[in-house]
Amino acid sequence: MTTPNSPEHDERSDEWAVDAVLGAANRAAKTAGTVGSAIGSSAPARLVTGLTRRLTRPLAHEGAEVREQLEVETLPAAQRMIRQATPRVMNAIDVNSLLEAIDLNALLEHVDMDRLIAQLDMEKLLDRIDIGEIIDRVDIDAIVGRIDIDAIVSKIDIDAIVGGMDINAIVDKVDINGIVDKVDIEGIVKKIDIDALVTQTELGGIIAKSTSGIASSALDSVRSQGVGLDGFVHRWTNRILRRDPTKLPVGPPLLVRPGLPAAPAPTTDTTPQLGTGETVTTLDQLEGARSDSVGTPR
Amino acid sequence: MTAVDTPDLSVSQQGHYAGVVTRLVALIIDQTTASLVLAIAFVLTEGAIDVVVEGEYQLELPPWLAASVSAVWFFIYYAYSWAASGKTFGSALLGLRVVATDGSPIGPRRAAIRTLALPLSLLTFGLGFLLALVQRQRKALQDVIAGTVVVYDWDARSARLRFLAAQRDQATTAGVGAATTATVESARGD
Repeated sequence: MTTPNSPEHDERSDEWAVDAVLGAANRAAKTAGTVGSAIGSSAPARLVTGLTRRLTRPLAHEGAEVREQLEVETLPAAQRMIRQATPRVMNAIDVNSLLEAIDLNALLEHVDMDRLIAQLDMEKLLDRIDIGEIIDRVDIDAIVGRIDIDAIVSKIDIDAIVGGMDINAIVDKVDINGIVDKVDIEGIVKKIDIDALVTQTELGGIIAKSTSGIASSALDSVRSQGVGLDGFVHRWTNRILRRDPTKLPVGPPLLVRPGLPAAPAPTTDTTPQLGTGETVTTLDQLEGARSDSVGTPR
Repeated sequence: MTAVDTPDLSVSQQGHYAGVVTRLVALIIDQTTASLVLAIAFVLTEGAIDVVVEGEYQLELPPWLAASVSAVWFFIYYAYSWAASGKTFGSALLGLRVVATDGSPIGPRRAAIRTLALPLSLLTFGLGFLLALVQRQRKALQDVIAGTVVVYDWDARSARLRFLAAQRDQATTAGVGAATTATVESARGD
């Protein structure tokens, strides 16, 4: 870049002539200003000024009208011209070189960020942001796919977390009774195959040890035989009397569900032996036949 | 553990009207038991008197007294058992219980009435007892008079589980025995 006092400036003859004229004009203006101010402050000068103002008042009025007219007509024309010229000027500007010339760090040092942020209306700004749309654009699966869950989990010290937890306090807050009330215990029990439970688990051994003995086996045998014979006799009685066994009462209302029809009698005519597999068949038949009609024992 | 479709844990004969066969067997057991106890009581009484009175003593009661003593004993045997638990010895063995028509305990009054009405079933050549065959609630004559019914009091389900448990126990024992035998035979072979 050249300055007016540099040697390079003297060597450029065309600019030198223009600058010399401008320098002379500047000197003349300053001199005229000095002389004018000296003359203008004198009494005759003030008299002349007042007289001149009075005489030129019509001209001043006319001049003001011209100036207003110029503002009305010239300004829009100037704005149009600026609009047309601005894109061309912008195209002509090399923004990259301009940005390179700017020291952004130095510029930012002059910016009061706190004040700038304080002036922002964050609520309004957030209201204008469509969070839903942003979320829709986010590919969660891709993000999750890139996360190494195993690595994260391996870094977590579960023991430390658990050690820091007050389990007792958590348990105290849990409404166990409420949870239990919501659990359908009866439904769960109904889904359990008790027979398999007894035959395939240690529960069977416990029951066998607690109920072992010939006496209990004999009692079960006698009772099952009795029930089988009862069923046989009453089935034939109902046939002879032409009674529908399903319409007969099953038992006292306090001991069985009211309204239950009588169950059909056991289909076996043989005497069940509890010590053999036949007994199981008999009991199965008894229970199976009663499955739709038997109530809850009291 | 295997899930099944609709197992019904309440499946049992418990609470259902009992049939005539089990009731008859229970009655026979009760009569036999009560008679045996009475006979033993007489023998013991005779023996006691024998110890006190020297010489061979023969206890001879007037028929009316013997009948009265027997009647009182039978009354106490049945009435007390039914009033206390609804079960006599025989019905307890057969898994039976006497309850009121609605299923509630019968109490001393009904127990006494039923005991007094029981001989009527026997005196009518068993016809009073056989009434249970045709009656809808399987009531015998004494039940109709006393307002009672006889129900099964044992749980077939429990019996089944006991049986299954016993089977499993036997299978386990047999398995252990077979394994032991195989080990012995193997050792002999070596």
